[in-house]
Amino acid sequence: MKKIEIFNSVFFILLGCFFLYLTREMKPEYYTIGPGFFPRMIAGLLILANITRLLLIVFRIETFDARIVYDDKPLYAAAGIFALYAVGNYIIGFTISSLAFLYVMMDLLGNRSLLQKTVTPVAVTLGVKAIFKWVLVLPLPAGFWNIL
Amino acid sequence: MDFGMFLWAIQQILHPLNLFIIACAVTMGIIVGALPGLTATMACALLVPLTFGFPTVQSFLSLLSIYCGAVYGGSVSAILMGIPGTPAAAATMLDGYQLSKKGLAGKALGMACIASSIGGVISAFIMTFLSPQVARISLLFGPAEYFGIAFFALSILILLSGKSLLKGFTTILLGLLCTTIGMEPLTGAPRFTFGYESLTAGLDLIPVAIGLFGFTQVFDDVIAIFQSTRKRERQIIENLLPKWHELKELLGTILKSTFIGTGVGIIPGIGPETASFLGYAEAKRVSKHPERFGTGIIEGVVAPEAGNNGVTGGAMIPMMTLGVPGDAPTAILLGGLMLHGLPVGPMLFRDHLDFVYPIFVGFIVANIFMGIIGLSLARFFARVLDVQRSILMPTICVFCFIGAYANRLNLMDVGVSLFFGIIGFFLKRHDFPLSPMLVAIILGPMLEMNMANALTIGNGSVMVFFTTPIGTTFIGLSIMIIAATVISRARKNGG
Repeated sequence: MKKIEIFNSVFFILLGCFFLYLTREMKPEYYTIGPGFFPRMIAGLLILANITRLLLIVFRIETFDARIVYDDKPLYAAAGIFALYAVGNYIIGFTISSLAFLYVMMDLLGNRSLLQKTVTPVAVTLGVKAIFKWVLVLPLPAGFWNIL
Repeated sequence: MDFGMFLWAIQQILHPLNLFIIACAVTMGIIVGALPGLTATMACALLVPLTFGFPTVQSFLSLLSIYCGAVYGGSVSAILMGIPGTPAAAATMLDGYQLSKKGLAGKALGMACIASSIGGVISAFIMTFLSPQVARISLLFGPAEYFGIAFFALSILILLSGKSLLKGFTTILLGLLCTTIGMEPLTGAPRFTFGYESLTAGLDLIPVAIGLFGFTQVFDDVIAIFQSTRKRERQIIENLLPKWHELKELLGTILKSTFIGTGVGIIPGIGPETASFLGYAEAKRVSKHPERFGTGIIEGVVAPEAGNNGVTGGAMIPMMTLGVPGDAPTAILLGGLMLHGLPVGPMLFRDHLDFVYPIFVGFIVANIFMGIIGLSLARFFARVLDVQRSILMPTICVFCFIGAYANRLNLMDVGVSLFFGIIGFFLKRHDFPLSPMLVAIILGPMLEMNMANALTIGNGSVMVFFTTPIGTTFIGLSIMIIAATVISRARKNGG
C-alpha cells in the first residue's frame, strides 16, 4: 500500500520534471511572459506537491485505507477491444465495426442468447446511424472503402 | 421595465402555435443534450438553419428552448449511464449515477428536472427585470478580475478533493498541465504537441470528459460484471415528484446554486461547467454531512443542475444588452439574431421592444415547459437502466465512441478519450478525485490567458492582480478558502 503511494508520488515528480525539461526552449518574447511560463509554474507546483506528499508518506503523517486487490485482466481486455473498435472504424467504417464490437462485447459479458446478440447490434447500430447520419446530418466514419 | 409591453408579450407567447414551437424545441433539446458528446452549443448550431425560415420571434424562441432543454438533457445520460451528456453535467454525475446504482434513477431524474426548471425560471426572471443594470457590472471585468475568478473557482475545487488535499491538488495540476497542450493563448506558439498536428488545437473538452467519466465508469462496470461484485438494482420509477417537505429542504440549495449560476453566466466566457461545480462545492461546503457527497445524495444532483440552468438566463443578459455572448451557446444565439437582421446591444432595447419582451416571456415559459416535459420523459428514460447489463454496457461504449467523435468528427479524439479513460481509471483506483481535474481543464485556458494578459499589462509585476477591488476580493477569498481547508484538515488529522 505504502509502496504504491510512494510509487505514484515519484511518478508525478518525474512527470513534472519531464514537462520542465520540455519547456527549456520556450523563451519569453515580444514583452510577453512566453509560452513556457505557465507550464513551468504548474510543473514546479506538481513536483513540490508530490515531494510534500512523499515526505508525509515516509514520515507516516498521511494514512491510507486498506486496498482491495483487483484482477485487471477484464480492464485490459475491454480497453483492447475498444481500441480495436476505434481502429476498425478508421478502416472498415462505423457500421460493420459497431456490429462486430457489440456482438463480441455482449458475448464477453456473458450474454448467451443468440437472438439478443444478433438483434441488439443491428438495432443499436441502425439507431445511432439514423440519429447521427440522417437526422442530425453528421457524417460517421466510413472507412477506407466507404462501404455501408 | 414596461409592464404594458410585458403583458402584451404574455398574450403573444400564449398563442398555441408559440407554445407548440416551444414544446417541440425543448423536447428536441433534451434529447440532443442527453446524447453524449452533443452539447447545447451543438444543438443550437445544428438547428439554426432549420429555424431560419421562421418569423424572428419564433425562430429565436425555438433556439432558446433548445438551449434550455439541452443544458438539462446532459444530466440524463450523466444520471443513467455515468457519462456526462454535456461537460456541464459532469458534476451532476457524481451523485446522480450513484443514485441510479441504488435504483433511484427516477428520483434523481425528477429532482434534476425540477431543480433545472427552478434554476432556469429564476434566472429568466433576473434576465427580464435586471438585464441593463447587471450587464453594466460585467463590463468592469478585465484580465486581473478574470484571473481572480478563475483562481477562486480553482480554490473552491479543493473542497472536492476527497480524503487527501494533496491528491486533489495533484489532479488540479494535472488538469492544468493538460490545458498547456496546443497553442499558447497569447502568441499562438505550439506546445507539447509531440509532432501531432491534431494536438495543435489542444485537447477538446468533450472527449476528455467522456474519457475521464464515461470510459472510467465502463471499465469499472466491466470489472464488476466479471467479478460479479455489483448487484443490479431494479429502478424505482414511481414518485418522480418529490414530497413537499423534501422540496422545502432542498429549496435553499437550489436557490443558492441558481444565484451562483446566474452570476457566473453574466460574466462572459465562464459557462455552465464551472457554475455546476461551484454550486456542487458550495452545497457540499454548507452541508451537515459533506462526507455523503459522491455516495448518491439528492443535494449532489439538485445543486449542479440548478447551477448550470441558472447560467442560461445569466448568459443571455450580456448577449441581449451588450451584444457580448455569456457562453458558447449564446454566441450561436447571437449569430441567429444577426441572421434575422436585428441589431445587438443597447439598440435592440431601444428599437425592438416588440422582440425583446416576447423573448423574455418565452424564456420563462420554455423553462416551465422543460420541467413538465422533462418529468414526463424521466419515467421513460429511467426504464433504460432495467436493460440487461450485458446489453447496456456495450451500447454505452458505442455512445462513448460517438460522443468523443461527434464534436470535431475526429477519430484522434476517440484515442484521447480512451487514453483519459485509462488514466482516469487508475487515478480513481488510487483515490485521486477526477472532478477537480476536469474543472481545471475547463478553467486552465482562462487562467493562463488572463494571467499572461495581466502580467503583460503590469510589466511582469504580480502586484497587477491586487490593483482592482474585484480581483483583490476574489484572490483574498481564494486564499482564505485554501487556508481554512488546510487548517481544518490538519486539525482533523491531528485529532
